[in-house]
Amino acid sequence: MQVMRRRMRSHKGFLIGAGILLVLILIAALAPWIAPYDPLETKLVARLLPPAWEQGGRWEYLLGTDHLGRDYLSRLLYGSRISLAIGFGAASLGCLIGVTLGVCAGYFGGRIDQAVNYILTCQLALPGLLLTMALVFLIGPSLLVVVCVIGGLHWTYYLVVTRSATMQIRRLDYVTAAQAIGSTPLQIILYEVLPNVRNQIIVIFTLEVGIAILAEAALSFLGVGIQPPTPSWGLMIAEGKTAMFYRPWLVVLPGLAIFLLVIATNLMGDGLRDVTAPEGRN
Amino acid sequence: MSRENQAVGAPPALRVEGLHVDIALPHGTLHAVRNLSFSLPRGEALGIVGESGSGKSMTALALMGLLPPNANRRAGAMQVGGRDLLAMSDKQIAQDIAGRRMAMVFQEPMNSLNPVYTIGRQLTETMLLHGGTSQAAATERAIYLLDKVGIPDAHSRLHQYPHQLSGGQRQRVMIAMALMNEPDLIIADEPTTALDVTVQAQILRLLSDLQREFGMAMILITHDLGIVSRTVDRIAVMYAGELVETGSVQDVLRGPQHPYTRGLLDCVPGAKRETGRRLGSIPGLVPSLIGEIRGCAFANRCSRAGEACYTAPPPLNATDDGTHAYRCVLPASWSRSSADMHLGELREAAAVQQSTTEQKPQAVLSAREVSCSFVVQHSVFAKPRRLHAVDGVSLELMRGEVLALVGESGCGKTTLAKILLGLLTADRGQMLLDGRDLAGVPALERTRRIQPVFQDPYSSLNPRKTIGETVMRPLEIHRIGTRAQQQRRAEEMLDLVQMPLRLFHSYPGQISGGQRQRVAIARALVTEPAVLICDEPTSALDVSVQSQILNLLSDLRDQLGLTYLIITHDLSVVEHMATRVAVMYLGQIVEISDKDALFAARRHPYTRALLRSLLKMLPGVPVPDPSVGSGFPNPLEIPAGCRFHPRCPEAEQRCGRELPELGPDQVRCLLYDARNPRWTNDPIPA
Amino acid sequence: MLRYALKRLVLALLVALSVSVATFALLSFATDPARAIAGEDADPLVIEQIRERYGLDRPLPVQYGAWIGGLVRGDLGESYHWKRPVSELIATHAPVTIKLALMSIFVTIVIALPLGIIAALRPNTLIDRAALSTAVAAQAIPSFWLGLIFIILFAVKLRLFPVSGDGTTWHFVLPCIVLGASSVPAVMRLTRTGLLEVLGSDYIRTARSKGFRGLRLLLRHALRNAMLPVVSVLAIQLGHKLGGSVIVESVFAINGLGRLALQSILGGDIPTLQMLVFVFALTFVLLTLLSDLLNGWLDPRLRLG
Repeated sequence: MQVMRRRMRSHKGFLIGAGILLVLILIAALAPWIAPYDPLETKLVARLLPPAWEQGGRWEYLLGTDHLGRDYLSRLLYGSRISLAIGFGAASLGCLIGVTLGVCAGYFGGRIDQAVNYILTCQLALPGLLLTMALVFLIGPSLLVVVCVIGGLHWTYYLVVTRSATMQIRRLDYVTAAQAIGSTPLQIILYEVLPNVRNQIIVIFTLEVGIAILAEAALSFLGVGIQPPTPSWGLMIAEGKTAMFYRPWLVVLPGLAIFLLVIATNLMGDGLRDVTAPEGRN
Repeated sequence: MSRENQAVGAPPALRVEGLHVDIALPHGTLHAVRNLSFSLPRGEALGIVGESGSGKSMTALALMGLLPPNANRRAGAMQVGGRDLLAMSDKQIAQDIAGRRMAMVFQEPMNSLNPVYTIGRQLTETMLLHGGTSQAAATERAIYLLDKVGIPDAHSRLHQYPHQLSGGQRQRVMIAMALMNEPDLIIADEPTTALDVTVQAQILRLLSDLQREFGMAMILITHDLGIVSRTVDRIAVMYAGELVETGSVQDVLRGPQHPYTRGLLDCVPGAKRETGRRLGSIPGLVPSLIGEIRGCAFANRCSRAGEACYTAPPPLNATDDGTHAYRCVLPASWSRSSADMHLGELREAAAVQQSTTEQKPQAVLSAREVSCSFVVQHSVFAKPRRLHAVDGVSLELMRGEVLALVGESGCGKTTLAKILLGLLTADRGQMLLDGRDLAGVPALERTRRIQPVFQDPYSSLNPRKTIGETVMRPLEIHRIGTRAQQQRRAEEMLDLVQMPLRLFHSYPGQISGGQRQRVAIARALVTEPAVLICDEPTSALDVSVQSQILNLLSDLRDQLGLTYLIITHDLSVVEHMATRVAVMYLGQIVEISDKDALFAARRHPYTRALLRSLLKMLPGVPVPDPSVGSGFPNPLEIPAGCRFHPRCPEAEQRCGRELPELGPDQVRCLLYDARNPRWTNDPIPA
Repeated sequence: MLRYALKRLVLALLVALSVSVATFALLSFATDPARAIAGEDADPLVIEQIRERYGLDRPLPVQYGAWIGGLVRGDLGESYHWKRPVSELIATHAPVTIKLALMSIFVTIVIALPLGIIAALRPNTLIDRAALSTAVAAQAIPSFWLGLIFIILFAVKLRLFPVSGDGTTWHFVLPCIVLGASSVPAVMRLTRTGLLEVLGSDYIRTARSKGFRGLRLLLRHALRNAMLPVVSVLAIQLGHKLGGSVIVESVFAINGLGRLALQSILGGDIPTLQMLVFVFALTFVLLTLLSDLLNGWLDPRLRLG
C-alpha cells in the first residue's frame, strides 16, 4: 500500500490529472464567491462583448458576454458545478449497478451468469446515446433526470471488468480456503473478492466520470439535456454556435473547459491503472 | 545421422567466460547472472541445477539471445562451436545460429507453440527459414523426426493444431522442432516440469537417447537432482546467479564440496532410506540480487561461514585433477562433519508409530462409492461433454494415519479432495465424517474437523489482508472468542508454525513462498481440526523450502495428533511421509496399500509405471522406461473395460471388455493374482 | 459451426426484440405521446381524442403486440410528426448514415492500427508515449466540439471543405474524420496492448529461438494472433457508429438516421423512434454475430474445439 502511494506520487500523469481536477472541484465549490456576476443575470445592452483583451472588450467582463449579455466567465465557473455533479453522480449510479451485476455473475456463474450476460448483450445493443437523449428529453430534462438516465445506461464497463476479475479471483485458492472455513457467499464477496477488485473499480469510476461529462455535454448541445438558462458547458456551445464564425470564443472556451476536465479524469484514471497494475504497462 | 564427436582438437560445443546478466528494474539493477564461466565439450551433456532465483533460466536465455528488452548481457567470451557470438550481429545470429547451431526446448509446452498454425507448418518453417531446402525435403524431415520422437501416425499429425495434442505430445513436437536443422547444441529448460511423472520419464529418456544418437551437446536445466543425476554427465550447481560447484555427476552428488550443495542434497526427501529421519534444511533466505554482494553469496546461510566469507568473493577451489571445481574457501574434504549438516535428530520413531497402534483405528472420513462428473464445453463452438472426474471411489481415512493419494493429471484427485472437504457434492455415493453424513454436518463443525492446505502459496492467501487477519479469519467467521482472544490465538498459531511474530501485520506480498505456506498451515490449524487435507503442499516450493515444510508437517502431526490426507504426484514425498498409499487413475482407485508394501510389491501395472518413473538420485543409472503406453488419460473419453488397459504393458483381450473391481486385495486388476503374481518387480535401488 | 451460427442468429433476434420491449416500456413511461402531438396546452378532450385515434388508450402489451404484428407484416408504423410511413423515412435517411459509418471505420482502421502496431513495437519510447498521449487527449475532446472547430478551421478559415450538408462525397470528409477519430484512441490502445501481449508470449519466444526476427517475426507469428480481438472491437465500433452518428450529423447538417432520430425526439415521435432503436439494435447484434463467426473461422482453437 505504501508502495502504491509512492508510485502515485511519482506518476506525472496522475499528478497532473489530480491537480487539475482538484482545482476544478474547488472552483465548483467556491463558484458563488469567486464568480464576478450572477450567471443568470441578463443585460442585453452588453451582449456579445468579446473577451477583455480583444478589440471591443471590456475589463469588467473578462471573458466577454453571451448573446443575452450574461458574463461568460461566471457562466463558465458555474458550469463546472453541473459537469462535476453529473459526472460523479452518474458514475456512482453506474458503479452501483455494474459492480453488483458483475460480482453476482462472476461469483455465482451458471444461470445467473447467463442471465446477466443476456442483459449485458441487450444493453450493448441499445443505441445508448439515442436512448439517453430520448429518455431525458421525454421525461423532462433536469439535473436529477440526467444523472439517473446517464448512470442507468452506462454501467457496462463496470460489469465486464468486475465480472472477469471476480471469475479469476473465484478460482484462486484463498477463496476455496474461505469456503472450506465456512464463509457464506456474501462474506466471501465482501471480504475476499471486493477488496481485490477495488482498485480496478476505482480506475473505471474515474474514467466513467469523464464519459458521463461528455455524454451530458452532448445532450445539452443537442438541446435534449440541461435546458437554458442553466449554464451547462455543452449548452453554452450550442448557444454560441450561431455566432461562432465571428465570435469563436463562444464555442472554443466552453469546449476547452470540457476538454480540461475530461483529460484530467482520464489522466487520473490511466495513472491509477498504471499504479495499481504496473504489469499492464510493460 | 550420427556425427563424429571425438575429433581431437575440435572446439567445444559451448564456451562461456564471464557472463553477466543485469536486469534494469525501477528500484535498482538486478544481477541475475554473475560472472559465469564454463565450457561444454562436443557431444556432452551438462545439467545446470538450481532453485528459483538461481539464474539458470536467465543463463539459457542469455545464450540464445532471448533476454527481455530490459536485460543487459555482457561476457568476456561466448562461443558456439568456435564461432564468436559476441562478434555477430543479431541478424547474423538469427540466420546462422538460432534454430540452426543452437536450439532450445522450453518449459511450458502448452504455450510454446503458436496456436493458429499447424504442427507441420511450425516444423517445416524452421528448416525453410534458414534456406537451402525445399518444402518437400522439409516435410520429409519433419515426418522423420516426429517418428523419432515417438509420435505415432506422423503424417496426419502434420495437419493438426497444437491444442489438439496433449502436453507430452506437444513437448515431443518441441523436441522434434529443435532437431530440424541438426543443431550442435540443444538447451532444454525444465522440459518436463509441467508434465506428469510417467510422461516425464519418457521424455527424459527420449532426450538422452537422441542426444547420444545425434551426437549433440546438451544443457539440461532443472531444479530436480534426481533427474539430473540420471540424464547428464556433468553437473553445474548455481546459487544466486553464480556457479558454485561443477564436476561430474558422480563426483558432485556423491562427494559434494560446496556447503550449499551439501545442504541441498540433505533436503531431498527419500534420498536416504531411513524413514522417520528429519529432512535437512537450509536456514535463511537467498540474498537480494539487487546491488552488489560482497563476499560469498551463501555466507548468510552457511554454518561454516567465517570472517573472510563476508568480505571477499570466495576463490575457485578444485580437486586434484581439476575436473571437480567449487567456489569456497574450505578445502576439499570427503568426510561430512556434523557441523555442516543441518540434519535434525532422528525423529522419535515411537511417536510416529504411537498414533497408529492405539486401539482399533477409527475411520475419520469415509467415502463410499462416490462419483462426480461435470459438463464442460471448451469453446462456444464445441459440443458440451461430460467429464467423469471421480467414479465409484471408496476410501477410508483412519485416525492418525498419513494417507497419500497419488495420481497424475486427469485422475480426479483434486475433485475428490473438494468432495472430502465438503466443498463439492458428489452426484452419487456417500461421504461420512465420523460416521455421520457429511452433507448433514453444519459448516462450523465441519470446519473444526477438516481443513485444507493448498499447493500454491501465492494464491492461497488474500493479498489484501495481513497474515494476522488471515489467520484470525476462521475465528471471526464463526465468532469464536473475543477479538483479543482471537488475536492471541492467531499469534499462538504463527508461533506453532515458526513464523516470527513481527510479521503479524505484514502482507503476503512481503513474505516468501515458504513463509506463506506456513501461514496457510497456521490458518488451517486455528480451528483445531483433526484432519488436514493437503493438496500438493510442497510442489510449488524449492527443494530447500520443501524440506522445511515437510518437517513442519511431521512435527505438527506428532504434537497435535493430526491425521493427514496428502494428495501428490511426488513419490519421494510419499516415501518420506506416508503410512498408507492409494493410487488413482482416471477417477478410480486402482491400488491401496501400506506404504512399505506398496513400494516393495507394486501390484498394479500403473503403480509399477509410477514407481519406475520416480527418479531417485542414482548417478550413472539411466532413466528407465516406465513401460506405459504413450496415450494420455482423458476423463472425457473413458476407455471400455479396464481404464488403464490402452496403456498397460500386460493387457490382454479381456482387459478391454471386463470391468475390474478393487477386490479384497485392494488391487483393481483382472490379471492380478496374489498367490501367483505374473510379473516380477525389479527392486528399487537404494 | 453451422449450428452455432443458427443458434446465435436466433439469439440476435431475441436480443433485438428484448431491446425493443425495453425501449417500448421506457418510452411509454417517459412520456405521453398524445400530449406531445396535441401540444402542451391543448384541451384534455382533444388529447383524449388523439389518444383514441392512435390507439394509445389500449393496454401496453396490446400496443406492443400490434407493433410486432406490424413489423412482421412489413408495416413499420406511421410517424406522428411527419405523417409518413416510418419505413419510408428510414429508407430515405439510411444510405447517408451507412456511407458515413463505413467511411469513418475506414478512417479509424487507417489511423489506429498502424499507430497501435508501431507503439507496441517500440514500447516506452518517445513515439509510444506520443501515441498514448494523443490517445488520452483525443478521448477527452467532445466530438461535437471537434466538429465545430474543424468547421471553423477547415471550412471557413481555410475554405478546403464545405461547411455542411451531404451533397457530395467531399461533404463527407470532415464528418467522417470526426466520427472516425472518436474510436481511434480505443482501437489504438487495444491494438497496442494486444500486440504487446502477443510479443511477450511463449510462442513468440519459441519463434525467436528458431531464428525469426524483425519484420518476419511480426508478420508471420505476431500479427495474426494479435488481430483476433481487434476484429471484434472494430465490429462493435461500426455498430456504435450507426447509432452514435447523431452528433456528427447534427453538427454537419447531414440528413441521416441520426438527425432523423433527434428530430423524432424533439417532436415526440414515438413510432419513428421505436423503429430506429430496433433497427440499430438489430444491426448491432448482427454485426457482433458476424465478427464472432469470423473469429471462429480464424482461430483454430475455436473452429476445431
